[in-house]
Amino acid sequence: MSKTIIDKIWDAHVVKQQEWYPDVFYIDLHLIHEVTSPQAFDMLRDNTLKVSRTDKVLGTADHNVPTKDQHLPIKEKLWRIQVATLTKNCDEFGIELYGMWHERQWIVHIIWPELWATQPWKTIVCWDSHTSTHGAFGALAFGIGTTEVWHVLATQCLLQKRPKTMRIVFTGKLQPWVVAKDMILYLISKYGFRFGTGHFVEYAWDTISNLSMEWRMTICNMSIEFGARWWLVAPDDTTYKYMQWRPLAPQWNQRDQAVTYRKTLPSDKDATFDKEIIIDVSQIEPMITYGTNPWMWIGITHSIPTVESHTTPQEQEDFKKALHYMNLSAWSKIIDTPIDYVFFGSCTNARIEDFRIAASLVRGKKIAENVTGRVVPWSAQVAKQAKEEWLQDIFEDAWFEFRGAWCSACLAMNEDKIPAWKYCVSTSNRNFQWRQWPWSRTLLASPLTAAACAIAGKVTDPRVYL
Amino acid sequence: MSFITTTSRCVPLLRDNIDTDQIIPAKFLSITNKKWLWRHVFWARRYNQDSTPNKDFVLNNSAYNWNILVTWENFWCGSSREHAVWALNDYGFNAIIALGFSDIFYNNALNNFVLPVVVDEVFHTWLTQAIQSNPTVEVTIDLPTQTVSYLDKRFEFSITKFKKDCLLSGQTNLDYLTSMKSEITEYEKHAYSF
Repeated sequence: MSKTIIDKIWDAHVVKQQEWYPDVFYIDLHLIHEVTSPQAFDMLRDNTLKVSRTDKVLGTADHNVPTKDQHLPIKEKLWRIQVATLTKNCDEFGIELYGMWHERQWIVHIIWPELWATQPWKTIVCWDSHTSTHGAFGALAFGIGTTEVWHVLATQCLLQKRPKTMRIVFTGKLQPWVVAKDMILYLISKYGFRFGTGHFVEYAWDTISNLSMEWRMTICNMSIEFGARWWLVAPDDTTYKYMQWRPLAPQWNQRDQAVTYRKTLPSDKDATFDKEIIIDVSQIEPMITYGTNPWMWIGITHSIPTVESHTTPQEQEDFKKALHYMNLSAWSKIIDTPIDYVFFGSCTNARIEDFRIAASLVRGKKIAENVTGRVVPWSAQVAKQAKEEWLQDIFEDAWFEFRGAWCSACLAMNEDKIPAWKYCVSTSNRNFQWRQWPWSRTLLASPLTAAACAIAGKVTDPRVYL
Repeated sequence: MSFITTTSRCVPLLRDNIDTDQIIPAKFLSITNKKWLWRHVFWARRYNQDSTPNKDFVLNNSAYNWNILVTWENFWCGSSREHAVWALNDYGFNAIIALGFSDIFYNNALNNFVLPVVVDEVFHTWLTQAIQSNPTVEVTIDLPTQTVSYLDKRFEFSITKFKKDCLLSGQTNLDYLTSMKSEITEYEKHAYSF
């Protein structure tokens, strides 16, 4: 029987299947961080349970920690307590922790890819909806709630109902300075953010095959905004080349065994999916959001839609409220909207390739006087590499502030907040109301678009700098 | 804890795509327990910028202070923060009726014995019109018969047999998982180790 890659990985991880019951599903890797692991560890204690497999769990503190003065104690008491609680819990239960002052400090979704513990075929979970980032490596990765964190800590398994399957084919050639972020924003704007609900999605074929691992991570990272909880790209030679010589990659004869097995994973040629869509990427232009949820995107040269273009009274009401919050008008151009902040950061777009392309636009220029620009790498390793490649100098010469790694202004759980009513062009992943602090206004965009906006001081098409 | 049946008036929050940042903003996630979250549920909409209550928001209307929430499509899109369920439950909600839910919410709600009920558009329209014109309408959600009903209207909703049995009996997913210890050990012996 023909199988999709999803079927192959799923079937290989089912411990038990019974009629009327969800599958008992084995988890190879479990990532935890400081924000909701306290309650999960309390549940372990309350039930007198231990961690089932301490060798398959890794902890990091990333949401609350500051990006400046990282050598000092955290100022905010509640953040300090959460980080200290994680340290205490990891120590008590025997879990390896990459804490605040670890040389490899990084966002939780960065640890495994950079170390190559994220590998094709593995199942990976974390209390965070952007866990799907790991799907770029052909892993089955998804976000879970705190109660499920407790279940995995206690048993290394979850109960899961097998989802439906969807294949999304990107085909064609990208226009110059249109990047992976624009691809996923276009997909969400075209199909909405419920289309993927209940589905496991495979991204496939020619355009995806030509993308680097970092661009694949960007696409998988934002896929939860499409409604789907699970996403992946089948592993190929690009994946295995990225893996070579990383600390936790299989070595020598285990490597050969791993690669041989993993080459059987891609979907069979005649495998069928419950849904399939094809996107021609050549028509995509740089994208930007204008509203307060992920489907409110437009091509940067386009006008904001009209109220009448929304079909139901509920959609029209939501649209009007979003524009009111953002202080934008229907049927107006978003280009030339003045901005106040630009944020390069988050697990979506804070990798070395993102900084390289943004730096190529920024080099020799200065950000506009009305803009505050911040650059926050997603890991200490990327920060180090940016320094070695002189990228940090390029950004600082352009008057950007280069900060330490972590989640930062993506959801503003540390002091990197965007003030009320200020516009921030952000390379992060959500533009909900209040996301970057109460009453802040988020415009999501690619690193290139964000760089162009920073230089111009207003929403700008990056292609003017070609 | 369990869920068998509930009869209550409803709180109508009639919007699509209510995201997790609306239900519980990130600034309130810096806690190490589950206490007092009811204070923060829908905080941005309950309060004005000067911290005074927003009189137009339904949770500030004493006519709507009950344990069934009625909303539209794609409730709880966005983050996997389970704090959103804890906040809703802490506020007093034990059931939510909608046209659809995000996958992550659906799981998180059931794990906390909050029942997510998906209804079709016809029943949803009847229900929302009824509760908007008369806030005293009482709705009954009965899990054994898998029905939601009010006055002479009735709808049969879907739920898996496993989760239904769990909610009725108070059994959790962990109870079932811990009974699989020998199967899990056997799986680990033969699984790939690379």
